[in-house]
Amino acid sequence: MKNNIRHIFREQFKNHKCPTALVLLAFIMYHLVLLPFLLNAANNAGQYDNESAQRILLNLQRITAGFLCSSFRAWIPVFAATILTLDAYSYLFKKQQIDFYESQPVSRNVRFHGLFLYNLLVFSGGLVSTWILALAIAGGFGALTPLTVAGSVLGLVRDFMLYLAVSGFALLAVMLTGNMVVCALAFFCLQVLQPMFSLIISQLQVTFLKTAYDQFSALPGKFLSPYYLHVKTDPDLLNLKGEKMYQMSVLWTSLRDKWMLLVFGFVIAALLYGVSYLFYQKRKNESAGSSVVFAWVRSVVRVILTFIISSEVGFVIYYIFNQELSTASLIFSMGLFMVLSGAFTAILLQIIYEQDFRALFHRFPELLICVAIPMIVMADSACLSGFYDRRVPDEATIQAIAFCDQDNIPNWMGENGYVDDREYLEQNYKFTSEAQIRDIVKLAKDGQNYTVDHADRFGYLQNEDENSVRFVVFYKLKNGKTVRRRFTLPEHMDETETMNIVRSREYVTTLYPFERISAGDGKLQLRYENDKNEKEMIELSGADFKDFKNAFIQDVMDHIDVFQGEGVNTTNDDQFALEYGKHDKGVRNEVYIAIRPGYLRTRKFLADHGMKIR
Amino acid sequence: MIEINNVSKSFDDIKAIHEISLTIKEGQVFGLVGTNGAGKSTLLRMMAGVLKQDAGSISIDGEAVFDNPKAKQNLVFIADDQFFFLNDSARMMADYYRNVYEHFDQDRFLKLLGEFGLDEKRKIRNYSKGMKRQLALLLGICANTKYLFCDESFDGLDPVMRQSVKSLFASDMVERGLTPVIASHNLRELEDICDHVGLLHKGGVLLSEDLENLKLGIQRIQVVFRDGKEKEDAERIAQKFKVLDHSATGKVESFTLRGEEQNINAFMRELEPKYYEPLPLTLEEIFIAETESAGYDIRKLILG
Repeated sequence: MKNNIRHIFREQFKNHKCPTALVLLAFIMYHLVLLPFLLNAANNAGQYDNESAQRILLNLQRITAGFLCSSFRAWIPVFAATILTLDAYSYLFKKQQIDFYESQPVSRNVRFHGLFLYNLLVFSGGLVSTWILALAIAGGFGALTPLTVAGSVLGLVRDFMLYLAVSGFALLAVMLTGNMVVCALAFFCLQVLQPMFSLIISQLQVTFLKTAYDQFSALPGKFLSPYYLHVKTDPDLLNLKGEKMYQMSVLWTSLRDKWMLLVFGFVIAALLYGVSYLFYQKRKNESAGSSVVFAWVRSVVRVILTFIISSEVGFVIYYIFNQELSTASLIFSMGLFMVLSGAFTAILLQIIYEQDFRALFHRFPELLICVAIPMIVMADSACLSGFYDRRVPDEATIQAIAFCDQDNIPNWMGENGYVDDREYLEQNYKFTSEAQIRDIVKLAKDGQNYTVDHADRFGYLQNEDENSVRFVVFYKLKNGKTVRRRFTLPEHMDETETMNIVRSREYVTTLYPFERISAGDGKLQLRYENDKNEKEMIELSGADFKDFKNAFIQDVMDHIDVFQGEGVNTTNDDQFALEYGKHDKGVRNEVYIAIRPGYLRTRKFLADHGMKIR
Repeated sequence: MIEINNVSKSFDDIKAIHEISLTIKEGQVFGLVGTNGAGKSTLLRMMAGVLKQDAGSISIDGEAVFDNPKAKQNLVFIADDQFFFLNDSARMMADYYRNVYEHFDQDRFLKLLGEFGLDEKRKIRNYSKGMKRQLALLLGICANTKYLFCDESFDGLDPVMRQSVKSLFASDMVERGLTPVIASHNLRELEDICDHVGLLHKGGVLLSEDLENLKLGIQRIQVVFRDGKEKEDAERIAQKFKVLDHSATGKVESFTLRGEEQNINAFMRELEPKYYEPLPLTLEEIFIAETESAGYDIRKLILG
């Protein structure tokens, strides 16, 4: 077997020079031409602009970090995986080459694995060798830091993951198809399949569900995309706002949070490889030249692609005409265009499969099924939405609730970094008492029913004259599941329950998560600048901040009016900036809070600490 | 020995091979004959391990051949449209074959290349079709495998080259026990080289017989009977021997008879015809006679 592997390597090296050369050229251009060019240009530009040496060095370090650590280089593993894999295994598409290779005394397994290993060797060799030289070049400019080196090692691992996964997609496309054109189409479709399904699910949610909140996008589908995983594992070391590069701790923090995503990427790559190998074993050599090798795959692809295209056409018609047409006309238009687009797609695929224009209506029952499925899904979604939108979990099943004004969910730069709305609320299940749960459930029932009857699909009321607030509520159930909803509450429905909830400490501390704030290695600073350019600043020790926090929270609890948009600054005179966080991130974090004239406790605190405000 | 037992192969709804059983002994030249679409190439590719049969078994020296490198070390397959690395020269292709087939004889290959007038350094993409065929055959022969499968490999060769290649086959058979299996639709091409022929038609075997036995068992004679004895003598011949074919041009009558040559000659001497001559039969004529007797109009099947 060792001899056969060496033979395969030798043959690939001798007779497949072009793809190998292109991959190596890509690496050379990126690491050894573009990087030194940009470093040199930045160096010269900085000197021309009389920038300080420190500033120039920071720019050079940023360029190096961007080139070696970020996702800029991602196109090369994608390019390499595509070209190397499709070229190496393309012999399966040609009868002449099948006769040649398969009659030789070389095991099919050895050939399959040997080709993959050779490609991996080409990619690794090109990547690592030029990367080492790039490090040397960056070092020559003084642009290397321990962080950059460590980050670029992480970058290598991420690029390997991306290469292996994309290579897996290419391999699967080859094993399922019989000629290069259909293979290229299949390669493209396999990669967009997950994003397309995610898009359709979120479109179904947005189109038909008025009170759903990010419920279905929590599906793990996006983790099946190596591109998503590659981007999400970018440690983001550029620090474009700061005056110097980050410290190593930023990388460790990033790695600590993201290493599972990397591992998952490798798992996906391994799965794709394994599935490709299984198909390779089942694949018949006489399928060379055909479009799709396995008959059942043709049907599956036909159903899936028709579903995607027909659904998207239906959504487009809905989005364009939902305001202009009556419900009946809208349904008719959607149905008509979905049927036409679905039929067209299914027919086109059948023509591709049989490579014959006369195959228009072959497999007609399958064509009907393909056209019917997306319409059934759409109809079901529309019918189920009424049931879904009004449903609120039973109080007895609820363990805790996170509740907040949707338009004012804070995304503060806490110690763990930026979090999106959903992640933030997942960390804030503060309502746990039976009374609170009861109040929120009642409010949600009334609010959701009102939203279904009076709001558009984005949750905005038709009547723009009345104030309203959009709430988001996350229910953590006792069985471990999570239910997420949103609803719009108009001012005339301002109920006792609303006041009980929004004037609670739990609600206010959800809006103002001061527990996420620490002084870091400095002091907390509270700054004020009014329209007359009068500036004030005070520093707060730990004890002072505690007093400030208590005063502020209590004031908000006493005065909050959600229908006036609490959290939104009313005037600049009321706006204060609270600066906090560690300096070693290069920049400190800032959050703006409004201290209104009615916040007497807070204003007294500020006055006692020497801050003069209007 | 190559044993093919009840092998079937279909491509979608088309039955290319249907329950074929054949035995190919070592040391003989086996000819696979049939029209286009008979299944010759399919059978040959299954024997070479390129295609996997749907049913039945194919073994070479007791080893199943599909995906079996050990079995494939004993064979080399020359396809009707042989693949080369077109940027390679003949010498570079030989280097490749040497890495694949452990007994490949590089020296002999280069020598034969010269004898056949092929330039070892010239790029194969600049070879003509006939030169590529020659190159494929030389590579196959020099691989020094026990079995050599040729799929219509003699097409495109001029008569001189054809004879040269046949001589090489003959000498290799004697020296190292080469067993060629040659598929062709041209009976005349196979006649002077094959020991055993198998006739395929529509995926099945119509006939599989040693050529000598075929020829021994059938004779063709031309005769002019004594005046007034034409009918009587013809009937006596029909009673004595099985008449596969009978035609007359004027007084000259031709008979194709099943029987041994000396028996027929002895009988004809007794009839004392005015003129009598035994005629040589071509393989094509033997096939036509044999298959017509089996009820097939082989004239429609065989391309000349």
